[in-house]
Order: sequence, then structure tokens, then C-alpha cells
Amino acid sequence: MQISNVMSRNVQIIGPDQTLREAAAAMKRLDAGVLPVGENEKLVGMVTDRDIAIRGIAEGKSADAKIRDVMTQGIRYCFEDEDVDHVAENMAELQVRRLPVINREKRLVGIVSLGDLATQGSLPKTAKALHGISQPGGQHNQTTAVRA
Amino acid sequence: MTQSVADVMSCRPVLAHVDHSLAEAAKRMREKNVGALPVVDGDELVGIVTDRDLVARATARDADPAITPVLEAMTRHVVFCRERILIAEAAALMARERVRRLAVLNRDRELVGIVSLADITRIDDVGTRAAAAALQVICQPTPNAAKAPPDEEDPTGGRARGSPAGTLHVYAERPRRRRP
Repeated sequence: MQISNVMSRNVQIIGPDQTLREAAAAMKRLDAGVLPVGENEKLVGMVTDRDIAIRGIAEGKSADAKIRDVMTQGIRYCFEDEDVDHVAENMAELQVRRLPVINREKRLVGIVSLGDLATQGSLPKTAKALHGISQPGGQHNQTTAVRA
Repeated sequence: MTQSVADVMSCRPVLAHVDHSLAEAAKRMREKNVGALPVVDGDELVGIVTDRDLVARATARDADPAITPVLEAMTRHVVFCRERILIAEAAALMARERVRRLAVLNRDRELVGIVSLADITRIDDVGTRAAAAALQVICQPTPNAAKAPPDEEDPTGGRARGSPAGTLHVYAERPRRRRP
């Protein structure tokens, strides 16, 4: 099965100079835990609810702080025509629960989460992805990540 | 997979108090690298607050995290289990209640730990499969949530609701904080 069959197409891009308040409101509205951050037609990062809590609220930043200051840089993505099982393996390796999905023209077309794989994919593959993701570490880990 | 919850849970979880500021709660989450803190009021466990709660209930609403108390952002729906139940039972309870973490109580109804879906995943292959099966259920849209109007107060979008009334393992036994 292809990723385009299980991904969510309900994606909203947010700009790096928009505020934490705007990101939080968008997450709430979309019932999403992550937003792709785009600038000049390019993805420049991802911001998660945890990024806002740990790099924003815990650091005493106000709701007016910029997303650029809390987002996770370095984009990992998958293609919409990739196989679900292959992406599940990538998630395990990268230790991320969600990946932006792009088409072959490099346009963002969706987001795929571990939950999407769990409800629509195969149980063994979900289990494998979950196992990899649940090990300590990973891209959004906030204690070991060194930020420039 | 014959272990009990007590064998895999995180013991003596970091707590937040209802009167702590959201900024203090966020700092504790950062320091301990956790996403959720059980919330106590005196000796009573009264809720749980997650990183997502902070964002949905403070940042999105313009509440100042330095002065807003945890009381105003926490989730009062706490699902708990006893420390001697089997892992499979804990996974089934998570699936039924659609939560990824359970508060763990001892025989004296004291809070002794938190067990998460990730803890169960890490045990072994059997645990990983049980956790994946629970996740499949947790991530399904609930019939109740679909029917109910979106709840502004509920950052989970209604997924934590959905169990028939009277069956919730929620704060019914008035669990307490453990004294050192």
C-alpha cells in the first residue's frame, strides 16, 4: 500500500516568523501535534507541541515568540508513492512519529503519522516502527539535542 | 509476557502541584524528559498534565505560563491501574480508555508510578505487538467523539472520551500521593 492511501491531507504550513500562539491555535484547530514550517515555498523545519512546551514555555518565552526559535530544523520526509512498510521502517530508524509527505514534484501533499500506519497499515510493521520510535533518543528529543 | 506493570513502569514519577505555574511544569518536563506529569493537590492525585495540554490550553489561549496554574491546564481524566496487573491487561485498559499512559497505584491506593505504551513496547516482541494493537484502537476515531461536537476544552479532540458511563477507571478510589 502507498503512503498516499493512509496519509492525512489536512496540512497547514506555518511560517517561521509566525508566533507560537498562531502555531498552538492551528494545532488545536487541526487536532495535530506537528506543523510543517515553510518559507519561500520551501520546508525549513517542523514544529511540534512538545517543541513549543520545552523550548518555548519552559524557557520563559511568550506566546509572541517566533516559531523559528523553537522549531526542529532538518527535514525528513517521504514520498506519496512510497510503500507504507518502507516508511514505517524509516520512522523506526529516524525515531519520529510523523513525516511530511511530498510528491515527485517536491510539493508537500500530506503528513503521515504512526497513528495512520497503526489504523491502516499492518500490525507487525506498526509494531516494528513503534519499537524503534520508543527507544531513547531521536530527532525531537529535547535533552540530547544540541541546538546551534 | 508474564511481567506485571510494576516490573516495567517508571517509578516515583515527577509530580506537579495544582498551584505550580505552567512554566514550572514545562521545566520539569524538560529536565526529566517526560511528556506528562501527574498532578497532586496535597495528598490527592487530581489530574495529569501533558506538554500538549500546556500548548493547547495556555499558548493557544494567550494565558501567561508564568502565572497560570497547572489547575487550569490539566486533564482531570486519570486512568489508573494496580501495580500487580499483567502487562497485557494494562495494554487492554489503555486501548479501552484510549490513553497512552496509566497511573499505577499500590494496595494502599498510593501513586507509585506511571506506565506508558512506550514502556510496554520496550519489554520484548510480545509487548511490542500488544502495544501496537492498543495503538490501533487508540488511534481509531471514536463513534462518540464523531457524534459529539468538538470540545473546546479537550485538547485530545474527544479521543479520551468514549467509554460508557460507570465503567471509567477514573479517580473513583481517590488515589493518593505516596509519602517518602
